[in-house]
Amino acid sequence: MVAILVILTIAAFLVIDVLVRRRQLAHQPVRVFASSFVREALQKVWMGNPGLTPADFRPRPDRFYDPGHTFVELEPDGTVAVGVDRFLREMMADFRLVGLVTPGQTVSRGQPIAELRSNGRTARVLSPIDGVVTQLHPAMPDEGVEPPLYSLAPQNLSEHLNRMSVGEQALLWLKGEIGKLQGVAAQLMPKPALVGATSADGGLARDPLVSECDEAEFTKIKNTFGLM
Amino acid sequence: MNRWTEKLTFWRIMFVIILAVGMVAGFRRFYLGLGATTGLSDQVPWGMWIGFDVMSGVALAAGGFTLSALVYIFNLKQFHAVVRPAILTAFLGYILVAVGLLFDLGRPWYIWHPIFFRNPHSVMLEVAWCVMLYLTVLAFEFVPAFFERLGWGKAVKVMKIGTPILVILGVLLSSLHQSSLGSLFLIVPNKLHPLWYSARLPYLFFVSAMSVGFAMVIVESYLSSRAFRKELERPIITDLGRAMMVSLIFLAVLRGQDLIGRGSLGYMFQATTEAGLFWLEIGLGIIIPVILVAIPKIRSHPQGMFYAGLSAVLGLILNRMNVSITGMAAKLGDYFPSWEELSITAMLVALGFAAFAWAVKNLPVFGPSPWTGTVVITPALETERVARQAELQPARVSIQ
Repeated sequence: MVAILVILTIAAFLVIDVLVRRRQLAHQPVRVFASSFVREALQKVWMGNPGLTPADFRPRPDRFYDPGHTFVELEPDGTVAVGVDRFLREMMADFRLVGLVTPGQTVSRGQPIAELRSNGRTARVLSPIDGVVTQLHPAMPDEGVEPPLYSLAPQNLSEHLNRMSVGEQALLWLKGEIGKLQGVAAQLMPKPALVGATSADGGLARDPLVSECDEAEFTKIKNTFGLM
Repeated sequence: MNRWTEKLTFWRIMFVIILAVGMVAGFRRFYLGLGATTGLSDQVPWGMWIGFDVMSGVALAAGGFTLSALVYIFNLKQFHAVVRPAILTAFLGYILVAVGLLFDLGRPWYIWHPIFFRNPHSVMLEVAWCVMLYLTVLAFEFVPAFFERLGWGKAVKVMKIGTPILVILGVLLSSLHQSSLGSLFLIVPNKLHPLWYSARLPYLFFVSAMSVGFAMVIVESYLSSRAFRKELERPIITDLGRAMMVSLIFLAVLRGQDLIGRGSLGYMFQATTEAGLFWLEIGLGIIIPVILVAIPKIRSHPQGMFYAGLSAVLGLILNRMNVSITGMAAKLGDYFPSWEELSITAMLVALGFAAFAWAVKNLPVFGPSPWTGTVVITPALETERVARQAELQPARVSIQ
């Protein structure tokens, strides 16, 4: 029985730890710009070197990009594939992406279709288009390729596509978004004390260059990048 | 909220409470004696402090010698980043074992006696000597961290010269006493339940300690990465998980062969407390961790590996408690620890956690993460950075 007592005591402490941690996480800052390549680029910018370029996010020429960082891809069968763009995935690399739609559901532009979750904070990704969800796509292991989240039988397609960017227009739009990202990063982490020391050979800054932001800052980031 | 209340986290308050209760219990134990403050008796001389603090403590500290052997003897350099935390765990673990023994010994002021008054026929002599020597070796293995912190480069270089000898000594001493702790129970064939009594106890103890050495490193790495926001060395954790799985399977084969060889397999299927605890031990210590690590999705997930490691650790604790307490209860009579025994054990564990946290915060325990690089910032570099930033200001966007 002593053995059971010991194991149960350890288990009880672990459960308490989980509960305490859950409570702490709800009040903790969240990490943005956690993706390695965004971090590297921001460090280069910080040292005065050129940083990210639109090509780094590999926007596909056959996809329409919405200001809310979703994309729409036209399928031969008349449906469209909708997903979250690579820019947002990289910026919120520490977040878990959870889909909010089910097949058969009617969605309208501006309605939440997915949620990014981390440390009790959520940012909702909004639908770029109206339509009825026809199919959900399973998560793909390499998220860098902008996997679609679901397919949609679209409504008011041309009207919505007009609000999006494609091809060179998408590159220009991404350039603006990169500017915003760097601006936000500069506001969130301009202090050497926060950023930490950097090696003389232009090496990497100490972790966490990844910015931690509180509720108010996170809300500003959501507003800046078209999230809810 | 002021500075002090900000620092008062739940676990810090718990630590203070556990420490306070433990100190009261410790005072009572030394003031009133073992008989008045413990559940121990002439029939049951070994209880919580030996079963948990010593037996489990020593085995859980096996990560030190296991990782040292992998890196310095088998030249598996990929594990280098986790050697120092493993050595720290072992060092603290053995210190706590020694402190725990002070509480358990009837006359703790004679703890030094095995050095001069030797009984060469006692396994305890070997255990005592090995633990003393290994604790010294661990101190030498860990002291470079202090030297690095103090900036004593020459001292670090001198210590590095002696590292191979220390590592070999450490592995040798650990192997000897990990197995000897099993040998201690060879003198109780008629008291220890057949599910655990075996002439092979020495090497079963050694192999189980080795397996759990990997598990402990996984657990401590995960908890440290969480507590101190360190980058978790995922490939290392996955490799350690594989090593743990292989060694646990090896242990399962040895135990199975041992049970069959002794004709004790049938005891597993009897409706007894011992059989139930045996299954719990095997389930937690071998079956669950092996299954978890064998699933690629879990193996690549740090939290999954943490649970696998934790399960193996709990299994080992159960094993040592079963051997030293459960397995002998039927013959020796029931034993239940007093609140003093429990409080002192809790205090020792809490002190171990606190010391580990202090060391991680103040000493170079964890290797540099891939993001740290050489972190030297000079005034010239800062001036250059400011000048460059002024020239090439990134696009700033107001996010009001």
